[in-house]
This record gives sequence, structure tokens and C-alpha cells, in this order.
Amino acid sequence: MKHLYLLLFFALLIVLNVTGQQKRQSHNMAERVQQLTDMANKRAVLRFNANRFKDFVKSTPRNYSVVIMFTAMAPQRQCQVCRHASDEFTIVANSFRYSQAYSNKLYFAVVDFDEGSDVFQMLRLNTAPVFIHFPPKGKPKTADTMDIQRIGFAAETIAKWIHERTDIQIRVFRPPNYSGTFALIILFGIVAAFLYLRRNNLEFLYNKTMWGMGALFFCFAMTSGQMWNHIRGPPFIHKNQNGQIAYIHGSSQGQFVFETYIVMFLNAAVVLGIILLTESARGKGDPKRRKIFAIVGLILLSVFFSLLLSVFRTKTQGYPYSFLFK
Amino acid sequence: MVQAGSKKSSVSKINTKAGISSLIIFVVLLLAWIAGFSSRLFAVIRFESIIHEFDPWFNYRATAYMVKHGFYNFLNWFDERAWYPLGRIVGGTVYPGLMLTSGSIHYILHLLHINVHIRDVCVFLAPVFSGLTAISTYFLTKELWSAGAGLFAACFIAIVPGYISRSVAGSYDNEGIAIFALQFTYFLWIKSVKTGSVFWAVAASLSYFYMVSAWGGYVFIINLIPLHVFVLLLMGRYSNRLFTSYTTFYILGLIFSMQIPFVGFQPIRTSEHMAAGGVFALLFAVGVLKYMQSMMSKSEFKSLVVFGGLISAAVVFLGVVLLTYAGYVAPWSGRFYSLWDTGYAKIHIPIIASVSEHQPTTWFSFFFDLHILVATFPAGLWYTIKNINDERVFVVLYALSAVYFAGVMVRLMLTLTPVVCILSGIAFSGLLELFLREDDSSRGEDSEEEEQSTPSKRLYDKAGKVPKMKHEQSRDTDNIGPNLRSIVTVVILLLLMLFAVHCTWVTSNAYSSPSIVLASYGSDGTRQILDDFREAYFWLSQNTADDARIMSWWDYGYQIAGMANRTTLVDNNTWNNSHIALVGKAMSSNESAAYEIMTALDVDYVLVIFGGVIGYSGDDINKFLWMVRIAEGEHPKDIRESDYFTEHGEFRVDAEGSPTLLNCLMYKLSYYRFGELKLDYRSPAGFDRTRNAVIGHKDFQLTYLEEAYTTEHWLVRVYRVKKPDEFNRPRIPIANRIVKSSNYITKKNIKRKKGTIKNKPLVVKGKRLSSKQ
Amino acid sequence: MKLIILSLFSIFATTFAQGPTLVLLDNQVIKETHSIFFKSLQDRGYTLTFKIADDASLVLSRYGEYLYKNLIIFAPTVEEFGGNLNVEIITQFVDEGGNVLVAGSSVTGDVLRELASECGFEVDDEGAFVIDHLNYDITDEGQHTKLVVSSENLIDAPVIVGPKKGIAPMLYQGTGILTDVENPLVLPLLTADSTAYSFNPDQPIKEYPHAVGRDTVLIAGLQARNNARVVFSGSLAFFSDEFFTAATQKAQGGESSMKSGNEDVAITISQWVFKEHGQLRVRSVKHHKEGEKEAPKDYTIMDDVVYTIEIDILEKGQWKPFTAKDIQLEFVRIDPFVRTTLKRNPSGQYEAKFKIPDVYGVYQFKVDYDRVGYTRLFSTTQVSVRPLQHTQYERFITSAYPYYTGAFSMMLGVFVFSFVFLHLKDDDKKSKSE
Repeated sequence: MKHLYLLLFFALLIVLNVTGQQKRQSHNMAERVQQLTDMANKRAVLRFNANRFKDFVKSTPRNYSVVIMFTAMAPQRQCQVCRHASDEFTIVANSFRYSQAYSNKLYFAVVDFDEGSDVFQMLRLNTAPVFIHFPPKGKPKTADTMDIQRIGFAAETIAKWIHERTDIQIRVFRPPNYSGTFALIILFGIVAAFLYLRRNNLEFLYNKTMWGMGALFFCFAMTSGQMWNHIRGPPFIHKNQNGQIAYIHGSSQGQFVFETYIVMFLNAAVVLGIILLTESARGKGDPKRRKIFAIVGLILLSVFFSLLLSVFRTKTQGYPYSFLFK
Repeated sequence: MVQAGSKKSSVSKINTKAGISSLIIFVVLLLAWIAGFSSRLFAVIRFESIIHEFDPWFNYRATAYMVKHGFYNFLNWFDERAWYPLGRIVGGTVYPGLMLTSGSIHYILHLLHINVHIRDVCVFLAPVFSGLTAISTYFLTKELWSAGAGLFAACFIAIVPGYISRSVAGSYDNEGIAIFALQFTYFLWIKSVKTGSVFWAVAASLSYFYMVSAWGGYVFIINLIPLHVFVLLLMGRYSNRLFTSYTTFYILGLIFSMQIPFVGFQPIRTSEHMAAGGVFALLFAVGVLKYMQSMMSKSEFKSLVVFGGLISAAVVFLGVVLLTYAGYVAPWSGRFYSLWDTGYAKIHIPIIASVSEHQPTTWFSFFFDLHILVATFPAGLWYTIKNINDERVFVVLYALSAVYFAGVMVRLMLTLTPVVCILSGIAFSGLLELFLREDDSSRGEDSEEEEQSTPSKRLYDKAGKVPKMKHEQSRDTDNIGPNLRSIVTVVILLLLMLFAVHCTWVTSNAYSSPSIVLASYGSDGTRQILDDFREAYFWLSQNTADDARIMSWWDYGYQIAGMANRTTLVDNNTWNNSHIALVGKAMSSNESAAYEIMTALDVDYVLVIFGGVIGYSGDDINKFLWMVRIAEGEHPKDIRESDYFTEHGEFRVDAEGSPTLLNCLMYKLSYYRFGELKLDYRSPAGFDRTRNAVIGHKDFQLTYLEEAYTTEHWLVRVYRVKKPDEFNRPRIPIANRIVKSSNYITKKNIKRKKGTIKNKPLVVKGKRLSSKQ
Repeated sequence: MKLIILSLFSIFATTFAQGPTLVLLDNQVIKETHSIFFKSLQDRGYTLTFKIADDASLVLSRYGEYLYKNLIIFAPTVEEFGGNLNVEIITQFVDEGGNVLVAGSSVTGDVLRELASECGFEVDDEGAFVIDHLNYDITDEGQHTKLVVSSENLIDAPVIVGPKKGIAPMLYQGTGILTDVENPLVLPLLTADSTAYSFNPDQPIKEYPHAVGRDTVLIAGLQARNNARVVFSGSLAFFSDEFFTAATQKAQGGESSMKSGNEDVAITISQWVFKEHGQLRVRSVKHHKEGEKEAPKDYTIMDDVVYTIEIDILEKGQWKPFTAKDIQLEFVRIDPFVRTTLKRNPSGQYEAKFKIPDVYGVYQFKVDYDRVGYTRLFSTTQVSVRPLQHTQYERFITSAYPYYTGAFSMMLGVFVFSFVFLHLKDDDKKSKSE
């Protein structure tokens, strides 16, 4: 369905382009460079449509490199990745625009599918985003297409790739991200306001249960490896070729996000078991309820710990011990 | 333990009971010590009394040097055999506590005419200190909760794998003694906060001094204790005790810590230490305010607090920022910074990221190292928070910060382990105390358990809940019922037993390999010892010139220096990134480019580790990408990581591999002559078992190096770098010759020795004069 | 009297200093046609052993010992040496320090080409002559291959070819040699004029000659890294009696001289190749701190250090102090930290004094004297430079005086305070700590 729609769009665009094509005057190189520089002075990333692409990139001779991002930014394309890629790309372009190395040897440009679909056709592109470097001489080689599958498209990697291709070193300067600081300030503000409003009744600050819950939650998060998830970014669960879903990573080196939630839950259950046991033995309330507490606590402790142990066992080769469950 | 026995004034009658309890405490601690000691001996029993791994070799070498040449010479030791040609000032770049400790033990033993070799002292130092750690953990927990919890904690820490991993026999490293120092400092600090006495504070700062001399992890203490003070202030728990103990501790600790040459002026110049100073100032401010409070009216005081507080906070903050900008205060060091911004190291400091210990921790590692404790310590934490007081604030903060750091870095699991033991000890002792007391309390007698809980009663200064609990309990005779109680007890004991066997299993399987001697097991269970490392190092020590310079990747620097006693270019003390990058560049360049670097560095031999024959995965080819990355960091023009990948972004050594990889020095040195080797009849020649691939570049010759030695299982390969004068003549290779010459086929053979001369005039005897005589 | 003894001594020295030399010939006739050259060698004390190049009994070494120190190959047409001699043996001989003088001709055999390539030269195709249509001798037979080469074309190194001035033009007839210009070890001892080229004169020129103009080397030399010397001449006739004694006259331009310069140049070259000239050695290296005599175990940073080196040159069989003004010393730790010219002191030693930089590490004193014609003089001495010991730092720093006063005033204050506190009875109870 989507493909059909795309095809239709293609056809339409081609027709439009053919009819709307004016006679292009052939610029000589100096003029083109001048035009490009003028445009680049206005905005770091140039927007190319099919005509401009032909003028500035396809025509020879050139003495400048062009790095073009092929993308589909229109909202109906629903390309989330493109938006991220575009942000990173703009960062690189701006870093170059305002750096010392700025020269007329390199230009950044973007071709949107909806504006220059025949460029896409010409280059046989069927995905977006794609980063291609057009060297001053000759055609782009395979290495001139950035492998975003492998290295991603963070601004730093784009800059490094450009450095590899063109020998122009760009120091990526990210506009400082104030959103984190801002959120933090707002948070503090809210907390302060809350405290101020409740200034007559600050008892809740001495609520040990609340603090205890918080601390326990933090411990569970850490011991279940959430930090590892944060740094490594593993998949939520793993689906293998047969369509089976693996919740537990097979080796001891890795873990899935869902797996860590399981572990967190198991840990919490064990702790709850211990607390229930202790509370039951401590002797408050009627004996019956305490008995139930004790039994529930015991079951929680033993069953969930055995579960934890068996999960551990599946990940360790040759681990001999188990409890209740294999 | 003596203290527990000789405590209290209540005389004669209780005396026997106190005696029994202290005997029990003594025996339990002794058994914990013995158990801890013996479970660390797997490596010694299986292999031999040998120093393990990498860093311990340097520590051992330094200790041996100190024992031989004396302390001052050690302090001034300039090691010209390391980091050739930069050299290393060992005295100024080492935490000397470890060497001093084992050196003095060695000295005392020799005074007593017990002639122990320094190596044995070094090998057994960590297991012995694990016992001391157990004892100080006992004291710390006793101060925090109760003696019973202390005994649990001591037993846990004696055998918990998270600590054993750094303290098996032979693992002669800073952490082995530092954990003891850490626990002991905390104990003394808690003691001094509780008593408010200068004596304990001074003792704490002395112990802190020992810690500083032993391990870089002292930064943890000097941030945790101020944090404790700060949180206490926030909680409104300021007291003169706190004031006395912290001011004394901080000043003395500061001065002491600056006595260690390696630390030097860092305590007043780096951001890591600034928090302690800030809290010191804050404590004074609070003290002054408290004093003012007693002098002024309420409204006056309020405005003073608000304005004074704001102004002073601003001044302090600006001051620190200005000092940092002016360069007086160094910003956070990279390693420290990577603790906060977890992605930092990966992008900016490959040398930190390349160490496996600096990776984040999976839940698996937590469970592997702590087993049941990881699931039970939150319960202990819960009860500590529920019954909070001054010193328990400390343990809560300790637990929360340590669990965070352990999550970020695997190696900091070590700092988490003690607090986990303490809190689990609290959880377990809480459970068992309640479930075992039933019989005693129904009989209405004071038992040994009762005695143990007496000191704890004194501790619950503000909580006021637990003492009540005991009354209630004794009133409530009708309880859960003895059956359930015993079931619970049995289950808990089963769990603890599981913990014990788990610890033994982990210790035996994971943490008891010396890693310089490898063992492989055949299908019939026979054990085969692979002693290639020592074979190679011994060869080096016997067959190379005394001042020969050996290039290898930095992992093996300490071992080469320690075992072969030869000069190395880089070693595990990774202080100079550019020098390491230079070696990395040599390894990842082609032969002729590498030769230029090697001649510039006067390299005589190159040593590479190659695991393709036996399937050893920790070899240099597997580490190779890190060499490339580190080299790229310094020489981005010459080395590019992407050149070493195939078009599809894979790192492979077979025929598909990238040509840059197949021609770089490391590849050639690893696989030289490997193409001729057929490992077994099933696999083709040149089959690499580690990477399960047939190598892509087989028959090549080395121009600038020659194979000097290869060990039995090809694990270590040593090459000699040819000297420039071995390329005596500028031979023109046949391919480069302009004038092509015809191939001349020799006419000589065994019988006919005569050569040939073109256009030789025919000489017939007697026809012409002046021919042959 | 003294003179006689001296001269006697020098004769004694010369006759015994030179080593046994093997001369390989195409045929015995060469021995006669090149008698002046051989005679001069014999006069200088060489024992020459003449052999035909395809002699089946040829050996260079016996039981691992070389029988000869030098080798002369005057057998251009040899295709294969007799006995156990071959290119490998000869290159090995060079690699182990033997000197070789080779003369080819336009019909140089493959074995000599191979030998030349092993030493970094190439001999032009068979049949090729160096041809110069402007600078040929008047006695030339029409192919313009008998060249008159001016002494200007000699290499600029008096040690090898003697002083350039005053040498009469030389006669040359033979093939051209190609050398790799970028190779620092290979020296073009004599080159052709810019109008020369090397080609077979009997054939029409269809392709670009291998060697043209000054790139056409007539006599090439090599000093290997082990200081063994090899000279390869493209012309055997260059050493012949005929050329030695011939008068030269350029056919065009008409410069003439009564006697060609061949003899002088050939003899000096033979002196160089057999190491009578330009051999240096380091007699001794000493270094110590200024004001001391012995070398310390290691130096400390900022020490003043004195470095002395004695350099000898071999002159007429005797080692004598060498004089030069351009010998430099480097103090190297990867990069040179100090580079200074050594000064010659009256006792004939070279000396340098400098201050060790404020950087610790393992350094090398490096003298690398590499001049054209001389053997390479290379001496490195490794020393460690250590940082200050803990006792060597400054004890009292001016900027610390405020702290000293602070400490002492504090001590005083505490003393006064405790004195007052203990001995003044007051009902004030504001004591914070003891």
C-alpha cells in the first residue's frame, strides 16, 4: 500500500519536473563556487532540489566536495530517524560553518525526497537517510557512502567520516544542551515550592518508609544492571529466526532489558519475603495474621530465590547448584 | 573480641556468660579467618606459590627491590627498564603501602629468624589480610547494629567471591590490603562519631593514611565521610561530637595523605578532594551559627542564616569555579569523570575503555560475586533506614554510593562487597535472632543471644522502636508456633549453605587461575599445564642481552620486567598514552613503517601473544582493535580504524579480511609460518582455532624481523628486530631492475667445477706463448 | 739517521699492512696489459694472486677463514666463476668485510650484472657503450665510444679520488652503469658528461637509452653499512697500461694533455676501495660530571656533563688522531635534546660540555659522523638521567614563609592559651575541646 503510494508520488513528481524544467544556464566554476558560498553564508546546510543538484554536484569541473544527506523529512513519510540524522548533520554543518577550517572546499547539502525524487532515482536510493560524499574529482566510491548501519550517524562520527574522505578536520561543537539543566532547575523549583507550601507540615520528610522505598528501589535498579542497559543499550527481548522469543540472554556477558526487569522483580520479592518474615516474628497484631505473614514470607523468600538461582544457572555453564527448581 | 569480653561492669554472675559469648565470638572470627584463608589457596594448591596476572608482578618486583635496597632507595628508585626511553620514577608513581606492608612482615619474620622468601610473603599477604578484613568488618557491624550481625558480616566477607576475586593467594595487589584499611577506617570513623573523642578521630585519620598509602580508592573515603557529615547536617543532626571528629579527621587526614609522594598536592588541588574541604568549611559555618543561635534573637538569627548562607554559598561556589579556571584546581580526571558520565570514556579515552574491568556491570556479575547477599542486603538496608541514627546514616550512604559505582564499573564491585556483607549480616541476624529466640524467651531466661542484643539496645538512640519490640516479644508467648519457626530456620540455613558452596565453586572455578600458567582439560579429564608464558620469559632472560629492549603490548610489560628482567617500552602502568599509541602504531603499521618506529625506539625484540593454536582467546589479535584505536587517537593521519574492517564492517583474519589488516605487523608476527601448520587432520593448514577461520595471508616472509623463539603451544612468539647494518648492501630486487638479464643456467656440477667465460680465446698448448703455465 | 729509520719503518708498515688479494682475469693477457696498475698495487704491499675466472680451483675461504682480504675481478666476460665461487659467495664476502674492485666492459657477463645488482648498481645491456659525440678522443675509431672525461666529473670527495684539480682528463671506453640516486650508500665516483648516453653503437636507437647524460655513471662505488667497499667500473680499459700512458685530445674542442689522468685516479680509487684511505675509528669514549673523573652510575637532571671522544684515522697503516671541525654530538631520548659541535682540545680529543635538560629518562650520547668517502663513525653510549632524589629538593622555599610563621605562631598561641587556661581560675565554662 505504502509502496503504491510512493510510486504514484514518484510518477507525479517526474512529470512535474519534466514540464517545469527550465533551461539551465551553465555556470562556470567560479560562479558556482560564488553562488554556493553565498548560499552557505546564509545557512550552513543547503537545500538542493533536482536542478540545483545537477548544477552544483553533477556538473564538472568542481574543486569542492559536497556532502549530501538524502532524507525524507516530510511528516507523512514518518521517518523518525531522518529527523535525528538531520539534527546531527546540521550540527556538523554548523560546526564547520563557524570553525577556523571553514573554506569553500566543502559544502553541506540536503536533498529531500519530496523535492528531488529524481535525484533519488538517479542514484538508485531507496532508503533514507543516506549520507554521500561527492568528491571533487570522479564519482563517489563505495566508501563515499557513509555506513550508518555500522557506525551510526552521531555528529562526531559524521565529522570523522568527512575527515577520512576529505581531510578536512571538523571539531564538532554541539550547541550546549540546556534542556537537562532546565529540567533540573524546574525540578528543584517544584520541590522547593512544594516544601514551601507544606512548610507547616514537613513531617513527611521524616517518613522513613518513603526514604526506605526510594533507597531500595535504587538498589534494585543498580543490582539488576540498569546501568549496563543505559550504557550498552541492549534490545528489550530477543527474537530469533524461528520466531521464538528469548527473554534471557544466553551468555553471561549480556542481558536483555526485560531480563533485568525480571531480576529486579525477583530480588524485590526475596527482600519482601525477608521483611515479612522479620515482621511476623517481631510479634505485633494477631497471631493468625502473623502466621500468614510468616508463611507468605517464607514462600516468597525460598521460591523467588530459587527462581533467581535457576535463571542464573541457565546463564552459567556447568553451574552445579540449584534450589527447589532446576 | 577481647573488648567484647572485658566489657561492662556488672560483675561475677554475668562474667561467665560474657566469657562464653566472647569465646564464641573469638572462635567464630578465628574460623572465619581460617575459612577465608584456606578458600583463597586453590591456585597455590593447583599450581604453585606464584604471583598472578599482571599488576602483581610489578608490585612483587617493587617489593623485592625495596627489600633488597632499603626504603629510601625504593623511594628514589628510577626504573630505567620501564617505559624505555622515558623511564619511570617508581617511588613517586606508586602507592607504597603494599610494599611497605609485606616488606615489614618480611623484616619482622627475619628478625625472628624465620627465613621466608619475600615471594611467599607476597603470595600469602592477601589471604592473611582477608582475615583482618573480616575482623574489622565485625567491629564495624557491631558498632552499627549488633555483635550477632557483626559475626554474620565477618563470615560473609571472609568467603564472598566479590572480595576473593581480588585477594586470592598470589594476587598481590593493592586491593588486597586496601579493603582492610577501608573497613578499619570506617570502623574508627563510626567509633569517633559515636564517642566524639579526638582519640578515635586521630586513629581514623591514621588508618586513612594507611589507606592512602595503599590504594587510589582512598578517594572513596574522602568523599563518603564528608557526605556523611553533610547529610547529618541536612538532617539537623549536628553535634559537637560530629564537629570534633570531622575537623580532627579532616585536618590530620589531609596532612597525612599529602605525605605520600604519589598523592602529593592532589588533596588540595583536584576536584575529587574539594568536597571534603567544602564540608569542613560548612561544618564550621554551622558551628558558628549554632553558637550565634544561643546569643541572638530568633528573627535576627533567621535573617542572618538566610543572607549569610546565600552569600557564603555563592562565594564558595564562585571561588571553586575561578580556581578551576585559573588552573589551581585540576578538573576531574578522566577515570573519575567516567564514573559520572558513563559514555565519556568510550568516546574520549580508549585506553580506559579498553580495560575489561572498566566496563559496566551486568546483573549476572552482581549475582555471581554476591549470590544471596545481593538479594538480601536491601532488607538490611530497609531496617537500617527504619531504625536510623547517626552512624546508620553512614552505612546507608555507603550502600547507595557503592551500589551506584559498582553498577558503572565492574571493578568497583570490590567496594560494594563489604557493605553488602554488613547489610546482609544485619538482615540475617535480624531474622535468626527472632526465630531462634522463641525457646529461650518462653523459658524466660537470658541466653547468649540475649546478651548479644544488649549492646544493640544502647545503639537505638532515637529509634526507640526496637527496645520496645523485645518487651512485646516476651509478653507475646503465643507466637507463630515452633514448627513454622524451625522450618524458617532450616530454610535460612539451607540458603546460607547454598551461599557457602556457591562461594567455593566460584572461587575455585573463576578466581583461582594465575593466568600466567594456563590449564586445559582433555576429554578424559586429564589436566594439561600450558606454561608458555614463563617459557618465553625464561628464554628472554637467558638468551638476550641484559639491556635488550622488548616491545610488546602493554599488558605484558610488568611480566616481562618481572620474570625476564628486560627493558620494556610500555607496561600496565598506563601513564603515558602517547607512548602506548606509538607502540600501537608500530603494531598496526606495515612492516617497513613499523621498522622505522622500532629503530627510533631502539627495539631489539618484539613479543606477541598468539592463541590460534590452542584457542586462547585473550591474545593480541583479539586485542588488536584497541591497539588500532589507541594509535588512531594519537596518529589519526596514519592509522584509521576503518581500514582494518572489511567492507561490511567485520573484523576478520581470513582471506576476506581487509588488506591493511593482513599486512600489518601484528598480523604478520602472529601468523608467521602459521600457514604451514596443520593442527589436526580435519582442519586445513593455517586454521586459527580462536577465530575459527583459515588465515587469509599465508606464505609471507619477514624482511625486517626474524623469528627468535616460539613457545611450545605457540602462545608466545618472540621476534628479533634486525639492526640496520644487517641490511648491508642496497640490493636491487629483481622486480625493480631496469636492465633485465637472461636467466643463466649453471653448467657447473659436482664433477665439472670449471666456470665459463664468453669469447674465451681457444688456448691450445704449445701454439701460443704466454698462456697457462 | 732518523729519516732513514722513519722511512724504513714506513716501508715496513706499508708492506705488511696490506692484505692478500685475489685477482680474477679473463685471460692471462690482461695481466700484461694492466701491468702498471698491478705493479702499483704490489709496490704498496699487496700480494696479488692471479687466477683465471673460470679456474676450477677457485676458493675465497677455507674452513671459514677468508684467504684474501680483497678481490679484484678484471674478467668482464665471465659467465660463471669456476670452483666454488659464485655471486652469493662474493656478496657474503662483502657482507663480512671484504673489498671488491670489479671492472666490466661492453660485454659484461651475467654473473657480474648479478653481482652489481646485489650492490645497488646496474650494468647496461650487453653491447652498450657510453657514447658521447662531443667529448671523444681523437684516436677514436668512429663510434665515439672512447671518451675523454674531464676531472670535473669526478665525485667531490678527495678521500676517494684525490684532489680534483690538476688531474688531467681521463680516457674511458666501456659500458654505462645505472645507480639509484636516492640510495645514500651508492656513490657515483665518475660520471659521463651531459652529452653522453649509453647504447649499442651498432644498432639504431629505437628506444630511450637506459642512461643519459650525467646519470650515466662510469665508475660507481659502494660503501656498505659494515664499511666494506665495492667499486664497479664499466670499463676495464680504464685501468689498462694503454690508457694510463696515452695522451688525450678531445676531437672537438681540442683540449689535450700529454698523459691521461687515468693512472692517478685509478690508483687513488684502488687505495680507497682497499681501505688505505678514509678509515676512521673511535678509540675511546668518556663521559662524566663536570669536576669528576669517572662516569657515574646515572646522571641527575640539570647536571653539567663532559663528554670526550677520541677519533683516529688510518694513515699509511697507522692510527693517528683525526682532525675535523664538523663532528657533532647528540644527546638523544627519541629526539635529540642537545645537539652540539665537538671541540678539539689540545690533546687531540673531542670534547663537549653541556647541561643535561630538565627531563629524566634514558638517554644516549650519539656521535654519528657520516661523510662521503670515510667509513661511518657511529658511537652511542646509553646513560640514565634520573630525577632529583627526595633529599635533593630545596628545603626552605620563600613562598612558604607565611606558612612557617603561621605554624610557629599557632604553636605559640596554643602554648599561651593552655597556660592561661590551666592557671587562670575563672568561672567561665566555655571550653570546647581539650
